[in-house]
Amino acid sequence: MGKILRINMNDLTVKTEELGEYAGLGGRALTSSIIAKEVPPLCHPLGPNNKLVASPGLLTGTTAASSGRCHFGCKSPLTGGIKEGNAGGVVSQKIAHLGYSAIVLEGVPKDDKLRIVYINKDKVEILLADELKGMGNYETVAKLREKYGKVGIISIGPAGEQKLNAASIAVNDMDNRPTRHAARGGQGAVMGSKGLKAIVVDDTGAAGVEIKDKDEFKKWAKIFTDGLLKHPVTGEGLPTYGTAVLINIINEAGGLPTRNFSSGQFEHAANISGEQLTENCKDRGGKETHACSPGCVIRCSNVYNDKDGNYLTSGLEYETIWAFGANCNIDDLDMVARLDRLCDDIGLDTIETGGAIAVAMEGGLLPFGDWDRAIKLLDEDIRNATPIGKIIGSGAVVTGRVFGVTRVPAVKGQNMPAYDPRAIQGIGVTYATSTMGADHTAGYAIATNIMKVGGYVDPLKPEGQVELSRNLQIATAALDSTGLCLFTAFPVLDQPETFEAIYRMLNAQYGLNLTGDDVTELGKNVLKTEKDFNTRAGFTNKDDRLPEFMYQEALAPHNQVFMVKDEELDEFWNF
Amino acid sequence: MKDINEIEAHLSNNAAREMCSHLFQSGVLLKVQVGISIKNLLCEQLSLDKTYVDKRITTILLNSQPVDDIDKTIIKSNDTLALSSAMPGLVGATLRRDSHLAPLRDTITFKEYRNNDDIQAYGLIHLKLFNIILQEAGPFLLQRGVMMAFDHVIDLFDNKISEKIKGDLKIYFNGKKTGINEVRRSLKSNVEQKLVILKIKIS
Repeated sequence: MGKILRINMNDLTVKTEELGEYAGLGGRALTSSIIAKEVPPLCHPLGPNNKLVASPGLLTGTTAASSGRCHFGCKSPLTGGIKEGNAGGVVSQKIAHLGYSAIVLEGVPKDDKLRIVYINKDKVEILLADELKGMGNYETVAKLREKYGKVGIISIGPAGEQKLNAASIAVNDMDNRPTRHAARGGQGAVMGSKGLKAIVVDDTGAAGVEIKDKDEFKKWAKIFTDGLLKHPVTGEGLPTYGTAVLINIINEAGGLPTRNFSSGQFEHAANISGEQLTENCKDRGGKETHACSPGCVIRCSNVYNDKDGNYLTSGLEYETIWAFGANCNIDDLDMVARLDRLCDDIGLDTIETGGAIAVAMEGGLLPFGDWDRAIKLLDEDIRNATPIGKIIGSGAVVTGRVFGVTRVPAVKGQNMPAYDPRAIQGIGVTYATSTMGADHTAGYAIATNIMKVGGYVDPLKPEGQVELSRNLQIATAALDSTGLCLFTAFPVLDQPETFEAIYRMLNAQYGLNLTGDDVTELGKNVLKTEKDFNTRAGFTNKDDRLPEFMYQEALAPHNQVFMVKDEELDEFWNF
Repeated sequence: MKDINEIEAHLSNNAAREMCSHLFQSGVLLKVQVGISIKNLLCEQLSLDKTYVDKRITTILLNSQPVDDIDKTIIKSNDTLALSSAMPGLVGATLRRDSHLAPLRDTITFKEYRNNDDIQAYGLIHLKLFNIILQEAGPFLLQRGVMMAFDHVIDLFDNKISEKIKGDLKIYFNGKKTGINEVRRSLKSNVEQKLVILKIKIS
């Protein structure tokens, strides 16, 4: 087990301590436990009592495939509740190699100086960095790489410095671009509130991660990798098309939110589909398959070039294409890619920002489909902190209030992702009940009937939606603690030996005797910890609801409203 | 079908792939026997391998509704059928045939009862192919021939197909080698006939 590195930005001190009561935890389990125990739930998210935690998962730093996620946690300025978000990139493995299970940022500075933290095997330094003020993530990473060499970098852009609710935390990818983001919930604003522009992690000469039983680990790591490679989703679909492959099928199913959730189908979906993205990548010398972190065998990312073959952005994903595409009525993939690049550079959550712009479009600030104005909103207004930029950068709810828009698709203050819950009602249960606010990753596709979380679910029972969502959220919370990419969930869904490989690797690494039940128990504890924090922060069951218009306004083409009853949603927490 | 104009395009593998991408994402028309099951349609009418259908085409939507039982779900005229491989994401997994997550999309699942009274009749259906299925089955089906509204064909050749395909293209109109301008003139002059058959030959 690693140690905790605590960095106090108030008195600019650093200390290292044992995990203590947090022993056995990693990733989301660790970030949420620290926040729930150490952060007063009623504190201001941008004030001195909030903390920002970065943690590799339990398997991060090993040779386990696709285990390089870096988890971040805090009290969210967007939702007011607990937040965990994670990103790929190169930094998480470096933190693990240095022997840290978590880096905890505490306090706020006494001055308005901007700083960076530099960490290597010998020292931790807090350094002034005013020269980076107002700088985009791309330039920041380039300058820090030039100075420090082959390092992992966690950074914020102008949005984080402005402490905007939609601000993300960026991590550099394997090409040293800041394209991987813990985007949701405004965690970049919390980092900004601590006067911290970047954390530079150098693992040169580090001892690496200890494995108790190397042969056993190697055996199960191979089974796990083979499971990922042979599965049609992780071995073929995702590497071929990336997550954007979902555009066509979700659109066909009538669940692709279009023009601020006013329709479930976008008539120009083929123009922004994964198939079109792949063609463009091939034709323009980009990469249609690309790993976001070392050791990822799924390789669902991409490198997207402009028409002249010049690099434009990387990691152009389904949610982003939807947020700026169908949701804003923009059917030009190149313009969507430009908006993605701007979000990566300014340090913004593409879902929240796309959602806020769509709400602003409905509110009359700009017409639906006006990509030129949308680009200016990001590049001129948000980047330069104009009043309208600050409104959009504060997210969809604030934008809705300013422009008098009643149709704001948010839960607990967070804009919904790219699946309309009136078409796919079950995901509405997850949106409503998640401790994170509307979050598509909170209840992912782990096989309920493999893991037997909460017992076997009869798919024919109408109440199965709540039960399924609960089980999925429990399983996801457990997976989020390992550092494994959520996409590993697909082989686990279909292949029992791939699921077994996860806890067998953990056993071999730490000398434990975990079973599948222990993994699910971990997931339950994470959810209960997060729920307890939110309750103490003032959330009630009334916050576990979808926005009013989704109960009243039928969505084409299925012409349905959200029908899951309040009392059914309230059953969610009965475990 | 004999009295319908037929366009046969001879093109390279890459060009065929691009044409398939344009055509099948938004959909083509097929004249098929209706009143039969989706499974029967795919395996018997469209000659797709049974194992391929079972293992590969794991996500099927009929009129925007996810289908679970393709042996029992009957195809009717004017239906829109969309075929896809296994999709990522919670919702992707939810949409799969016989997914144990099917309750999450219960309200849009295809449940309409249909008898097969129409069996033996022929009708037009709208077929969409996505992702890997588009890549794999698209060229095969396009070599067999699909039907399209003639203005869509004109739009395809005039606007949607890139220059690289045009340079690679040989056109046969009702068996006679010709140019796209001649095809355009012929189709525009025949106001009676709204549909054409489009076939490809990969050279």
